[in-house]
Amino acid sequence: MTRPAIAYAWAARRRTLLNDTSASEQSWEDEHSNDPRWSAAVRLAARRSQQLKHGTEETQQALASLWVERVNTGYMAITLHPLAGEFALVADSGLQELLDLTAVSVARHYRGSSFDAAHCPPAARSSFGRLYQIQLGQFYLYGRFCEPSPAGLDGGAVAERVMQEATLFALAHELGHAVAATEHRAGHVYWLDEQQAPANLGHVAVEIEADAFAVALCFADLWGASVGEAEATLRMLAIRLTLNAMEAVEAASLVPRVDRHLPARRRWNGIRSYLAERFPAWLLERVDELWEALAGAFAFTEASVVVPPFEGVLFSLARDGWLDAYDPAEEEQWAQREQLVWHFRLPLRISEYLIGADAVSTVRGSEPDHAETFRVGHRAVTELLEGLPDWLVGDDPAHGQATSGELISYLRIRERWPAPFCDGAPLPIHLMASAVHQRLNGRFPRSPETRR
Amino acid sequence: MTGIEPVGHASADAVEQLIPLTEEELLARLGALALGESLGFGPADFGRYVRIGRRWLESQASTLRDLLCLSPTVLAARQMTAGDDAVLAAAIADVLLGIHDLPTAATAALLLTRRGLNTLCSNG
Repeated sequence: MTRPAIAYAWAARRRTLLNDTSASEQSWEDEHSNDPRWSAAVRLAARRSQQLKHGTEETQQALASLWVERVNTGYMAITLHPLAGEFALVADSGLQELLDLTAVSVARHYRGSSFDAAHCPPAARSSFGRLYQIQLGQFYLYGRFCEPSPAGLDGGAVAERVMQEATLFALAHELGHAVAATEHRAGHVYWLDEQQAPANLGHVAVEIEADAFAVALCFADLWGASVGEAEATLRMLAIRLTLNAMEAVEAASLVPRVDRHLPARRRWNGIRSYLAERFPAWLLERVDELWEALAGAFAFTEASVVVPPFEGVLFSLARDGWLDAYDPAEEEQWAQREQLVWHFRLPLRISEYLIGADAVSTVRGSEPDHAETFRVGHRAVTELLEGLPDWLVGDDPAHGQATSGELISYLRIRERWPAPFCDGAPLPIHLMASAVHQRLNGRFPRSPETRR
Repeated sequence: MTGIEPVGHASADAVEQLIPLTEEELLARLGALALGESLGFGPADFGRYVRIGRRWLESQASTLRDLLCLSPTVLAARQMTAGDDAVLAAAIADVLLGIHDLPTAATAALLLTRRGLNTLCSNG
């Protein structure tokens, strides 16, 4: 296979715009991508496409015209750019970072020759969930991944396979858009009968088509084959991880774009109904049970108490078998990161009370009661919300949507602070961003432990 | 003769439409234009576009300086349009149309005008 010249040239010209590191630091590339994992995913897709029941030729044509450009900014975007019959897929590194992390957790549930929730004690899952909150919190605080996961967090070969299948699903979804490019660019379905497509799905229908194409490709080599339970489970979990990761990051937007993709659960239900025609019900039910156990650790939830656990994050990860060793000197950095994210996860009313407490703290002689303190904080959040510009809270599909990370940057300028902070105490910026986020999007989900 | 070429209606109209936008919105627009049409699932990527727009301006600084700082059209417009961002930006956009499409030229022109051409031209 030769490199698609137009797509490659387009991506190469944009490397300085897209990357944090300079283009000269770029050392690896082949005919598919500048990243070994994405290249492996393209080759895997090419192999699986040979066993598709329909559409092998057009899939292989789309693959031959595809260049995958990995960029290292930590954002979660994957965008497909049509270029005179070829396609450049720009894959920001944030998705891989998040999937890498979650793949380690999935791998922990594999032992012997099967996946089982019992292979990972709830306490171990809980300490992993704590790490996940800190890492996912970066999307809320900065809009992207800025800090890596702890060194030594390694799920071995099983995690690598999960990651490979998850990357393949993400690639295959975009490949579906590429195969149906003309129709999907116009917002029309390609495989479905336009007359029979449910009217209420609107433009989400093209995303459903891309999901259907992706799952057919991901499982193409298993149809009619004698399938190992673990292999089928691994592939299904990889798809759920990918859907969950995309949804988790979309939720960090100040105005989540819920109409662009269906919620992860509904997307999975669509995929599941397709798989149900090919796999036994008991296998799908086992995957569902396993996912329910895993999903508790893969959610950005409301903090159940005001301060984080005293026990260090790295210590608890090592105690529960996620790390063989760690540098105690790094524990303080992790504590600071967790503190920031923890504050962001506080329930709205507590955030507003704490904002009020900061506001009244510099007023000499003032001793308001708790109710008045809360009201001061609530008013400050309301005033800020009413004055926020459209680019932060509006919905402009042409230019994407802002996250609370952009709001935090916006609030670094004092003139933008609401009363009484504009001429009083320093604004607690992260608490304010959290309060605004929750006012716009509703409270964060409560953690499973809290619900019990 | 004023030495200033008449500003094209297309540039003036394009700039006029952008006047209500903030710096962040203009940068995001520039970033989105640099990447062009896209399909696919990029959630919450306003900040990503802003960042790309900012880098676009940085990467083009030398070219923009060469094109604009000694351009008779721009020099004349700067003298005649003190304080009127829209007119100066339209003149800059006209010059940039030689190497960029209209949306990019208009967006970059308004950003440069608001930041002040002195900033660009004194950093050579």
